[in-house]
Amino acid sequence: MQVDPPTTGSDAYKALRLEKSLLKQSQVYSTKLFRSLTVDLQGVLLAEAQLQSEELPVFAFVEDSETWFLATSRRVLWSRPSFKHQLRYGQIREMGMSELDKVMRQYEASGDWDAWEDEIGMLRFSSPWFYFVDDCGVQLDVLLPPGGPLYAIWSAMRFMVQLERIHPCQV
Amino acid sequence: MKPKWLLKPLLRAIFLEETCRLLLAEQAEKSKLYRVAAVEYRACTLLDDSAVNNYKLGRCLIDADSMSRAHLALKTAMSKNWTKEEQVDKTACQSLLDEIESKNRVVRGN
Repeated sequence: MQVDPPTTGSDAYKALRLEKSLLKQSQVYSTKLFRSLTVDLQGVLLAEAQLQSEELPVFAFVEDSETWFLATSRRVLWSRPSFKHQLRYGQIREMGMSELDKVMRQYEASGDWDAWEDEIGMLRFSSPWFYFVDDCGVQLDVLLPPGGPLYAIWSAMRFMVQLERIHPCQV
Repeated sequence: MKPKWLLKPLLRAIFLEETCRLLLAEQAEKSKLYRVAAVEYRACTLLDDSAVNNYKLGRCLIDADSMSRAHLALKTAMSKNWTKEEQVDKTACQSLLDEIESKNRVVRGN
């Protein structure tokens, strides 16, 4: 039986596009899809997220019950010990790796590109700090698994911010 | 022997490298650190010598005041194939190239 594709702009549509965007980075992340998580983990995340009607959870990177990152069809939520935050995709103005700006500024001035290659080579696969800047200009730091997973999440979030501009959430 | 077992992880590593460098380049460009952005976009063109990567490199080189290298990158970009989704970038690339060439004509005219 053939299933109808979701209506363009709906939560199901956004969830499907987000899932494809993540898996485009690597099929390895199929284990991070919400439906692939254990029932216990799903329960923890659902209790934290308090999803709105029609909103769908898509993927999550979970370290333990206090340190996790969850992306849904409408927003992104993250937690680390004694800190929880969430942003709708429409609220995200900028994002990037927290430790990079300072290093980039230093090399922009010096122009020592050999040293830059060495430094960035180390930093880009070891730094777990990521940030979002919200629509009020507030920078919020997020702890993510460094290396490939961080770039996969970054790429997927960038995609969702663009998708949200095309199909803004009506709720 | 089919090298498929070797090719797949290699392609995945190249894809990750390009994604990573593209995101770093965009962050640098947004922070107006154009020389760093140009270095990162240059790395992207080595991994994937596409029209868009060359256009982005050229765009940053203009802001980094490297006009002759920007001209070369934009010319390279225009000689490549552009997909349907990249037509907006193609138009922007052509107008940057026209701008540089008209400035060059003025300089030569003087």
